[in-house]
Amino acid sequence: MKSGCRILIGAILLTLGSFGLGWTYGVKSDFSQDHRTYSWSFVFDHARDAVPGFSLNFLSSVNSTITKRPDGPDWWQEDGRIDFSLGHDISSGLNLGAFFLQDRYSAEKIKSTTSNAGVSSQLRFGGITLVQSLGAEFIENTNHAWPQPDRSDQGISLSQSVSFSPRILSQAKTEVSLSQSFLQLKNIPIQRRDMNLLFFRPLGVLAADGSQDSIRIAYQEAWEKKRFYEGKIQRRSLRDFRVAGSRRLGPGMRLEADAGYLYEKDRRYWSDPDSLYYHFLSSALVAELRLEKNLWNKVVVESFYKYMISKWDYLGEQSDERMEAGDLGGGLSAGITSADSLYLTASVGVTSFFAPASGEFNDRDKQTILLWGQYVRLLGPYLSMRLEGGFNQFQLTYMSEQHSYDNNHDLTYYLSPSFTWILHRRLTLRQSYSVKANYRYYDYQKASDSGPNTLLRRASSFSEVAYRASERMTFFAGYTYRYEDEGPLIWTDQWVQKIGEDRRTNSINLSVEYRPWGGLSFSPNYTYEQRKSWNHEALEEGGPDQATIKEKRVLGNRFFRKLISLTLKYLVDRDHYIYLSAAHRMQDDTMSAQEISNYVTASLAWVF
Amino acid sequence: MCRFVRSRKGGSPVILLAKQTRVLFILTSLALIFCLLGCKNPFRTRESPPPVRETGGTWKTPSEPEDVVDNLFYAYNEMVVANFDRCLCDSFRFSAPEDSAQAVLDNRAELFADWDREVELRVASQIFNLLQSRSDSISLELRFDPEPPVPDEVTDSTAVLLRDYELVIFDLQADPWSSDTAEGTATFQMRQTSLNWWCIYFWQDMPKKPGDYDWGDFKAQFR
Repeated sequence: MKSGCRILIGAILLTLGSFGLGWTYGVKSDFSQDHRTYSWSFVFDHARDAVPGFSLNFLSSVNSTITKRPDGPDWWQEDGRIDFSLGHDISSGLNLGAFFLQDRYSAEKIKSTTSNAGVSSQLRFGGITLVQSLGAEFIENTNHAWPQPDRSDQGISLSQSVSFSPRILSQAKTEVSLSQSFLQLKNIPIQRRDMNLLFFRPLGVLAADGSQDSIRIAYQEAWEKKRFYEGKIQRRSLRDFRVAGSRRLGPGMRLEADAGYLYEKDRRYWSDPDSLYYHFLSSALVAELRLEKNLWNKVVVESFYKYMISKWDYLGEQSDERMEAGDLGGGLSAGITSADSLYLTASVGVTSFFAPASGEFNDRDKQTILLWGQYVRLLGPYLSMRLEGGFNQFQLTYMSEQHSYDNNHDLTYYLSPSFTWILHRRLTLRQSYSVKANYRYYDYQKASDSGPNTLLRRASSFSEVAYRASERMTFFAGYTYRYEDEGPLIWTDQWVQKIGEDRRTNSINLSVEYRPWGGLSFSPNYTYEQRKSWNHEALEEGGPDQATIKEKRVLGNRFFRKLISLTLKYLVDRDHYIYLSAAHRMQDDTMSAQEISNYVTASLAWVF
Repeated sequence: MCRFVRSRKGGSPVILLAKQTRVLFILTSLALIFCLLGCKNPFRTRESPPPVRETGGTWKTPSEPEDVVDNLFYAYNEMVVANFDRCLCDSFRFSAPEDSAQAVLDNRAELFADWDREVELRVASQIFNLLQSRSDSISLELRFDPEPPVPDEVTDSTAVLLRDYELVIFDLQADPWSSDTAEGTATFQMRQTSLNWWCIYFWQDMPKKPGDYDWGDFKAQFR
């Protein structure tokens, strides 16, 4: 906390000190609460380019989290950063500067501070930019929570990077950058090298729709070697190659192809490379083809196929695994008339996992089918309708006979029509309905009625009236009714549902939106919700000779909730806003004690 | 109206366009060949053998937060990665604050960074595959204390459940058997999905005593 306070106080003093000097600075602060976790963050960003050839940048940030533990002391965690740099243009191509960077991290009695201070230079000549820095690095790590050897270190840091854009072909954009850095520390030295290549070239001429054939090739290579305190050495490398092309095949038709290969290697050993104790290789190949056709400037049809293969290889270890996936899909968006529009998407894909060394123990296929559609129609100048529907299916199939008993299907259907009716320039009505059903069943577990096969059904209705009393004030009143039932699915010669529980929810919502001026808005809100649940129990009636089973509906749980909230927003743009929200919630049900909760959220962002 | 761009050397615009088309055609064909060579049929899954046992992994429809803890318990002990998968929300995050702090001190800050659902599933899959393939030499048992350290906080759409756990890893080749025990408290923050089922969106792990071996340490060995 102390370090955070110091950073915060420093930032505030600098803010106050810079008033009236014409410097630009910004602050952003957030507070949030999620159950027992409270989080604060504060960012101060300060920059000055007022004097030609001279630049000053200062950034400080603090993130604090406190987790309240009822059975022990609270857990406090904090990280912060100070980043200060000065630069001066000695000539048109040379800039010299100095920097100071400090990262702080603390979690209760564990504390880590890394500081780096030094000088930098930036040289530009003939399209080449060379950046170098030399600094002193200090690492101070302490752990008072339990005995531990010293974890502090210090040394020299050196980094160099060069970037240039050679002109290889006309119209082409080529970027090359190379960088390397050395952290010469006594205990934990680190070396890094990176290379990035990018080539982009438009091909042919601009089409009437503004698109153009193009090709893009990117290659990245990174290498790192670092040592840990206990003497272990880690070498990591990464290669990433991407190629993408876009080609017009005819009027309104375009083909896009994208392919990439990623390779990562991680080796860890004790000082001598022969003493390898960890070796991990991962590779991934992704390829995607996308075809888009525009018909009569009214309908856009697109289709795609995406293929991906990934491999995690521990060189013969039993945990080696491979994943292969293929997705085929498409979509359609159509403006049928000026009053009708239609959107459809569909995709089907299978992802397979292979782990041969484990004897196919977790080998499995997961198939996903997604369908979604939306139809929007303007029924008149004041009435519109939207119809949305969809279907999702997830199927899980195990390759191991040890697990195939768990092969299952999960299907969801949904349909939602909604209407908006502008009755008067001040009065708008909204009405929407929704029905949803989810089936979950297992291939080899059909016999039992207490098995995991289930069906959930839901239907709901939402009505809202919006009354605009003035340009600045609008009242909203809404009512929601929801019916749900769920229970096991039983297989006879087809799936039959046995309702186990049904629930009915009634909810009323009243709110006001008041905009006194500009981006300022003030929104009080009140919600009342009541939910009742009934259990469906089987009762035996009649004598022993004529016993009949009747279903009885028994009230199980009653739930009430009241929520009062107040929101104040002042929004100018992304860099300038204030948001304050407070809520008081009271809820009670027959299964547990009454609960009263208060929530506060505050955010501030301002660039001066 | 077509406009051709002349090269600096003044080559024929028709030839230049033909070259560009050829380059693009070759690249597109290469991408197509890649796709077709490794084409994965999205309509078919592999054949699955009939089960050898009449009981599967234990799974309860998670209509209560407690069901998710039970499902996670059984998924770990029965090593069913798909049931473990269904306990986690899409926005899942794992955090082990003390282990992370120690990792920062050890110059390995990345060990616990960005631990999302994909990482968690890969780690679980590797643990289960390894344990299954070496079932004669290593085994694992997860135990939850039936008495939670604090009462569960369950509202209508969110829940926080704390569970004291013991994760015992047995070395079956040692004579007599030896074991390592990871002990601590797991905090499961859950939310209801659109189908009313519960899932874990945040899992925080703390060791029983500062510096002790805990679940996060165990999982990090497989990341």
